[in-house]
Amino acid sequence: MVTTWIKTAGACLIVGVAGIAHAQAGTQTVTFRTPAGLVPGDIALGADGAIELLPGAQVTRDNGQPSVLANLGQDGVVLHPLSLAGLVRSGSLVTLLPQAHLLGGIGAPAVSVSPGAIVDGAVDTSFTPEPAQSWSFSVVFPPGPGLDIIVAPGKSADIAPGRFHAIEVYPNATLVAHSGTYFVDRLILYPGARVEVRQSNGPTRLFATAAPLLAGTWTFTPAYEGLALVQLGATALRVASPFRGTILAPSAHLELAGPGATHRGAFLARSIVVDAQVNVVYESSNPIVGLITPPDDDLQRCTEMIRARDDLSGREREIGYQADIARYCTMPGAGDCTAELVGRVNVESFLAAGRLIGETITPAQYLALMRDLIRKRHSWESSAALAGALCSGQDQDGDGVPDPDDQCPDTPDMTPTDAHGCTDSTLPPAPSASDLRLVFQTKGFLFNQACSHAPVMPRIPAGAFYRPAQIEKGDYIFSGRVMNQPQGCPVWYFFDIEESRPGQPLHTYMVAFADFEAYPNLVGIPATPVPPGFIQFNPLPTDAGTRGQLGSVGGRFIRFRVQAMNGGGISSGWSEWKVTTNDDCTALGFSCK
Amino acid sequence: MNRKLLAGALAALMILAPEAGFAYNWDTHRRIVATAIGVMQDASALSPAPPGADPNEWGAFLAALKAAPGKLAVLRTGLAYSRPGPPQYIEKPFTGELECFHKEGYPLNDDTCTAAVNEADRCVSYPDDNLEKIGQFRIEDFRYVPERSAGPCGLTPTTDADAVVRMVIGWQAGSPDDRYDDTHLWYRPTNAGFVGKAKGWADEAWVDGAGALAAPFACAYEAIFGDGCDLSDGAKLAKKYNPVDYVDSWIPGFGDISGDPYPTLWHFINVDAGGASLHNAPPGMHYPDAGPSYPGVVDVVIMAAAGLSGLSVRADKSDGVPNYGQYDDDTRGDKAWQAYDIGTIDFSPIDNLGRYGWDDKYVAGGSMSARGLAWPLHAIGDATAPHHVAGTSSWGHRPYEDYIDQYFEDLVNLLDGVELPDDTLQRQRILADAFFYWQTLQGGVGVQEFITDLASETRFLVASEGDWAYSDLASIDYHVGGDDAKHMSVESYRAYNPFIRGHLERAIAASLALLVIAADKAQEPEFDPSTKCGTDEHYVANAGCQPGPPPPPGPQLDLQGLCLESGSCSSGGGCQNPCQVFSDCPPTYDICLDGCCTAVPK
Repeated sequence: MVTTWIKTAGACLIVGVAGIAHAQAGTQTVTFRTPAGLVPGDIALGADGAIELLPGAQVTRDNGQPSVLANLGQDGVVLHPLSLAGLVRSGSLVTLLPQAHLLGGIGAPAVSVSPGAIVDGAVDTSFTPEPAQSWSFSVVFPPGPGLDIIVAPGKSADIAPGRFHAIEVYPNATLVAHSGTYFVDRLILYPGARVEVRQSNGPTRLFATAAPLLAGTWTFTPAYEGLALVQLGATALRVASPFRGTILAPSAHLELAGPGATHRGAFLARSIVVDAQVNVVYESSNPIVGLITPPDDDLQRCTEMIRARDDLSGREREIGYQADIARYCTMPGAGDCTAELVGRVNVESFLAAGRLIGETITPAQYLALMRDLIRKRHSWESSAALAGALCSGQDQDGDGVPDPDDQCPDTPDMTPTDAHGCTDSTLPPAPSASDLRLVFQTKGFLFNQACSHAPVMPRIPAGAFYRPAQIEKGDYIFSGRVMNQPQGCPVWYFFDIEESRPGQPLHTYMVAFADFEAYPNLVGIPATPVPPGFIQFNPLPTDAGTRGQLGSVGGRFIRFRVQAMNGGGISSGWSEWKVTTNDDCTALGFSCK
Repeated sequence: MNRKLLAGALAALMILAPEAGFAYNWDTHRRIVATAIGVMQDASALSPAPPGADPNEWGAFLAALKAAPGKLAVLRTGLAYSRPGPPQYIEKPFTGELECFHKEGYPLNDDTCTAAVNEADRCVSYPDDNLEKIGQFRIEDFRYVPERSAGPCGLTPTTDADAVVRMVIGWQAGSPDDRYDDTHLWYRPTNAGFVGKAKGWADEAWVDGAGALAAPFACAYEAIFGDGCDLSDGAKLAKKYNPVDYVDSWIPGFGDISGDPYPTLWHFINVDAGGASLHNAPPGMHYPDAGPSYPGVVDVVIMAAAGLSGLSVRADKSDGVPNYGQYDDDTRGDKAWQAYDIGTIDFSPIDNLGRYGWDDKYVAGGSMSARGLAWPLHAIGDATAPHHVAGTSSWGHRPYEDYIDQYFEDLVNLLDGVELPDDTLQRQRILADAFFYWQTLQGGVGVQEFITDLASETRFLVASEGDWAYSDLASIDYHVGGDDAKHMSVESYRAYNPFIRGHLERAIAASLALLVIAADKAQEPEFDPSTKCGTDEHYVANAGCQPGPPPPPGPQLDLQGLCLESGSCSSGGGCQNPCQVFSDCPPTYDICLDGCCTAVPK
């Protein structure tokens, strides 16, 4: 037995002893699956067995959009009376008991909806979650034995990231953790325990062999920057007090408990039960994105899996999104402050470009803005103190000059300033707006004026996708036709395609067509035009790019949705996802086989 | 700026006609270096010392110069062999189109993605040469002229040993434009839900010149930030455009090469920008500070397009980051390279690129391969190009490049075997400039500083000539004005031929000076026996050296239908035009093969 001393805020005291038993050091692989078309970041509750929402349980999103429940297992999804969730994708039976309510639809091979239950969206019993997407990553436990951190009531312990045998925090005890990665064989937070997570340098990741009970309270200072708890073993895990973060326990049963508690995050486990009257509010699982797709392997894929935070809106949401891209993909290991400042720079760069394009600023103003932005970026890159001031709320007007140095504290948004934070209206020489406009116009990049005053487009339905007997003719894809646009205003149809061929990974891509490319007649039915209200396009195998891909695939492997957009940039919003059925083809006047 | 270098250049400027330069493409780089070596090889035309030159130093320079081609000829070719194999593809920015990609392969072949050196069965090669070891040949043992992108047959046999030296080292000088791995780009999604997917739409949405793709960019921006994407009123969105095609075609060099990860973004040095960059003074390409006085239209468009699309460097896959970034005044990690779009980061300047080749490849490699000369020679070329030293993609960059490409032989033509009086004068001017550059290098100025100073000198001279090279209108005409306007924008530089010729001569002179220094460092790598098949072997395309003597010559028709066997030519039996060397042949013939002039189909 080894005595362990832990330095705390006060004197040194014995808080624990190291045990003999410990998990072996080495590499362990974590593997889990998501249904076709969904990445982990889309999912609020994800299981490979069963999901059950007990009476009154709710799974929602801050933005009012439907949360996603995904289950690949064969034990079904059950929503008890008065439970509420978004949409469900399941590989087995979905059961809604009386007064259960889904804000979205259901995709599952079998559905049982009791009288009084409500499903706002469509029910698609042709849905299959296969081929499922498999995700895996390796966890390398540092060599043991590791310490036991047993924090007794009334005591506190501040532990740096590292390897531990056990962490147990008793009632009225406080554990202080930090940004970084912790490895622990056993993690227990007893009721009344407190965990203070100081996250000034990125998210916190906890890899635990077993974490049977999380009943303490969590606080994050100075702000929540991400928490991921990955349980490697099969020990059932019970979360009995409000939790915020991502829990990934692919081999375990997870119980989200605590009457009246609200858990925020994403939860992926073998099976999940949400106790009665417990609320789950989806927050993206960004903290595990960097684990699933190491940025060095695929930066693009990493960023595509990042999801924006629901609890933010407008520009702050965009900044948060860019900060998460920096935090988990482009600059892993960078501090939160850096990530946030990078996010701000990238959002402002995007904004400035948009304003230049929209001609709400002149080229000279654009250059002034960009140079100011880059100059200030260089300043905080060179000065940790400056960066810290900007990140700690000491820049109320957001001009990049800390308040103590800011002689003009109310600088308007996106305005260059001098070193004292006052508007610098000096404009650099720049190309003329007319020269830029000339370039845009001559190249045809000006949007079509015929679309001025165009009305809002209705959401159009996805129609059907089929392949005629003559394979060389390619494929045909239908959607509803936008009928209400002014003459001469072009409309583009963007098809979001999910292609799942047997034995191959899911392949997703976009294909766009202009309305003037429509194919007028039904193939194989002489002189029969496409029915009114529909529009049909004909991608060929010989076409370039994604058209060629779409033109060479059988219809049974395609799921798609459609969105229309006119030449003024107005879009209709996406349709529901669609898998072509015989009924669709019959409605269009031919038969699908 | 190095005082001696400037003084030398100014002296030459006063003595000779003041002239100015340009920006170069692949073949221009090759021709500059080939001409420089040609001047060295033509010892009979060596000129008297320029005014003010120390006769002893001049004599030493001439002696070193005469000896240089022979010393350079011992270098290995450094050409890279690529065996046919599974194609590698890269994704083209914005459109997502896949393009064939070779890494360090020679010849670069854009058609099949599987070609290697003379791998077609009917390609002409010496049967005892093992071309799989093409890079290991000493230049003096190599009997071929390499083409840039050669199709199935990448090498043309020749008996002109001097031409081989010129063409191999010239090929190397152009090759950094083909280093596609220098810059890999990626799209950082620029907003939370919409723009990230726009990339996949590009090649589909751009129909008949109408601007569909702008919609995702523009409306996403407006919708998110509430600056006017009022879905009830399309008029507010009337002025939007598609940023996509711009960057694809306007990044300098892009239109000239098949690859697209923008290797030339490392080929600038903005001597006007001073300390605007955090990492280098002067910086490389940094769009917000581009141009002789301010960013041109193309620069601004690239900035905006990159800002909207998130087009960024992918540090871990971009060779330029470690290779050239290591010599930044203030180095940065991968994170700083890839966190921001290319419109806001500053690339390492061209002098870093030159130093990388010289220090890391030529000197560190024991000065035994011409490969290491590729980067410094390329950097010298770009450092004499007005648009490269002003760090701009606009201001007439592309039309100027095209002009040089089209009219190089009208400006410098010292390799045609005909010596006109003007040629002699030009040769003297080049040698005078080269002498001063050589003195600078002999005096201990490093290659990086030499290139920096050369760039500063270029910028100084162009400014003293009235900044004639910089015309944003030429860029606008070139890119948007249609064929006639494009032609006119190119031709607009004809009026400045004297200036252009002068800067070309400076490029040749500086290249010559560097080559003389390089020749003194050249080490005999010794003959590599693996470059030859055994006495009982012969070389076979796609198979390397095979046992037995070469098969008897048969009808040789290559993949393009080239008639190489005189007896089988449709024009009748026998050789119509016997030859010993290529120059014996009429102009319509391309090579002298086995004693017979032969035409290569174009």
